[in-house]
Amino acid sequence: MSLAASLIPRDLMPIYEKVMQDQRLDAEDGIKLLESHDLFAIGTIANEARKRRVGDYVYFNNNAHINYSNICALSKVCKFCAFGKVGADPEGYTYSIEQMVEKAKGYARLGVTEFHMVGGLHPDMPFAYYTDFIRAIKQAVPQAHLKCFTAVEIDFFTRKFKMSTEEVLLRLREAGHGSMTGGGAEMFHPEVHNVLCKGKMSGERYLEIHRIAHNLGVRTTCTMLYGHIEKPYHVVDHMLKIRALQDETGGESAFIPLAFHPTNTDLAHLPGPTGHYDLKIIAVARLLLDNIKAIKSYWVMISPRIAQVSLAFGANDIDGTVREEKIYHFAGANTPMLQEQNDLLRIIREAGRIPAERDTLYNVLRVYDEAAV
Amino acid sequence: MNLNFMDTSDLLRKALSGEKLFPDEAIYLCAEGDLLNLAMAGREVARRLHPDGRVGYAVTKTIVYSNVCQPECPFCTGTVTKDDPAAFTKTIDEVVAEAADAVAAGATQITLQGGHRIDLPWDYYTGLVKALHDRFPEVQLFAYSPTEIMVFNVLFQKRTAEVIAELKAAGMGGLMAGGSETMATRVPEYRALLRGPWNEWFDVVHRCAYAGIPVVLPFVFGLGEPAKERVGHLYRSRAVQERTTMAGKPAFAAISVFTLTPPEGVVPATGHEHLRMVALARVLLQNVPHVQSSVVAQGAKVAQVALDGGANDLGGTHMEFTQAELAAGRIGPMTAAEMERLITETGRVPALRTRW
Repeated sequence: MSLAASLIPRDLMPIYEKVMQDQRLDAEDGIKLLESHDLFAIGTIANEARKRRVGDYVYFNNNAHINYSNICALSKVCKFCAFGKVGADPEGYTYSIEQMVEKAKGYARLGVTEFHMVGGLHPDMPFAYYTDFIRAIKQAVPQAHLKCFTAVEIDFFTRKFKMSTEEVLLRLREAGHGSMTGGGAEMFHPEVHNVLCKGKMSGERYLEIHRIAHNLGVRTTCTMLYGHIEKPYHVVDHMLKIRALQDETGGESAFIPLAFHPTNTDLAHLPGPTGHYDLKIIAVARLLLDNIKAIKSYWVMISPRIAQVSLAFGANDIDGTVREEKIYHFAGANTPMLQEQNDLLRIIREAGRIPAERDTLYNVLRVYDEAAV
Repeated sequence: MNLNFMDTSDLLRKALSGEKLFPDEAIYLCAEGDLLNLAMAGREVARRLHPDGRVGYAVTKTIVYSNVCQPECPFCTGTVTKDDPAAFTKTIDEVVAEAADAVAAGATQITLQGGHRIDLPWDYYTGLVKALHDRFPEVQLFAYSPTEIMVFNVLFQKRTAEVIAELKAAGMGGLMAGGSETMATRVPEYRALLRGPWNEWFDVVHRCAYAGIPVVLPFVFGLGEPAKERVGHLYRSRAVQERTTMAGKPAFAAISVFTLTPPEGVVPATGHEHLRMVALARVLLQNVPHVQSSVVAQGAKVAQVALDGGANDLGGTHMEFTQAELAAGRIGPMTAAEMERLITETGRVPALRTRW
């Protein structure tokens, strides 16, 4: 037994034993973990689960975000959001199809193979806008996977354009849509949901849309916004609902906990999550979500330093996304991307793991083991 | 087959049982020890030494009395040569006024820092300390560093013991023992003209201990040094602590673990590395009471996590620094309230430090 495992406190040992016997953890285990202060003991247990279930690869991919518009019908509804604007706002924008294609082509020159495209719920754009930009980008950059729209946007399309969920997804697929993104989950429990975003699509509807998507063969990822007003039972409730859906359909590729950032939001009085909490959340995600292969850390969102440490707490996927659209203006210069990738490889190796470049659906494209430096 | 080979867990078990590790064993841990095992061992030592779970922090201000300097240490920014238009030297009154603002804002510790000068009189240095101490006797006053004291030796023709006695009489209440990062082979590389060899540095530290001045030992890593140099610094420091403890006056109140901007060509150390080094220091130097993980130096997220891996102090708020990395993407000055939140969230009890 490792020294770390032998120092796990008595109250957490039953959870460690369950993990060593590949037994599923329950809600009570989750709450106990979230209420415990023994951070590295929790990490030791989560690391054990990670090793047993998914091994030593740490995934990353080359993707870029294109947020097609920040005009959002829910602009005053989601209190945690600093992105959405109402139509007349001078900081509001909506990219034209041509602008989207230009951006995509610029990123493609830098080697990007996946476009992550989400935006506000635009009150005016017709459905053709979405199918057209998908079609146009697919034609301009055929090798790229188009990972577009959260369940919130899909739900919005069904209501605005009076189509069933299936119809929306099938028509998007026909245009070249590859898979859905995971945002919009926030936190399912009504006690939290009603404070954070009353009036927004519910957790039930989020899960329903994911189920329909999976049944059509459309993969999704899933998320949870944490670090605001929630209690441990809210977190566990959220994760177990996702776990139950995954038992049914197996369609979630990854779970990404998203740290709430208070600045410029209606909840700016809240302090936001600390490193201690970030790591606990990742560990609990790995331990409870035994049926989701990838638990992802956002490099930028929780700080690069904590993202690396999170690899010891159960994470096996790092999003090192090129976020700044200004990258596009470096027209053709690949130094920033390469540097970021070298940084990623180094920090993954420093954590004792093996970097593995993946595609959108978690097929391994290239393993960067030591010999292949 | 090497029957004597011990892995990280075995070595940590040995250290936890109270046995001293051989230098090559410590070097192995430093270079190869994985984060989880190191951190759990660090946590165990911290719990034994501090079962009440109290975590210290201080409301601090660093006052730079002059930014003029000669040595060219690559990790230091903000110093200039004497004829540079941005050069300044504050009068004693100016320094006292700055300190007054800091104390009004709650400062419990003030650190006097400056470049290495050869043209200021001795009574400027003692005068600064005396003026601050007379005006704010309840504030713990950290002044100068071993390398500056070595310069005073030469400049003012005073023995180290004399220099320290005079500074103590003026009101010096603590020494941050900087200068140790240029130990061993690194001195010529940094062309640190006025930084001396390590035995002189330790001489200053010993004498502060005998004079009853608490010393904070820095453990600076990530400047391109190999593991054996890190361990060398820790082992020499541990020996000093043992000797001074036997004489009834332990030298070091605390060890402060942090990294600095490295020279060009050296990759900056990561938070992961910081956590490993905090744990390593805690496990190897069980005779130093406190291990500090500076929130302002390392960012609030990682420094707080170190509390579960051996650290029991978060350092000072450094009110002069307004761009600290706080939690959740916020940048701003660190406050006592935020320090307390970081500490209580880990289940520990914050303790505002007024004295080491």
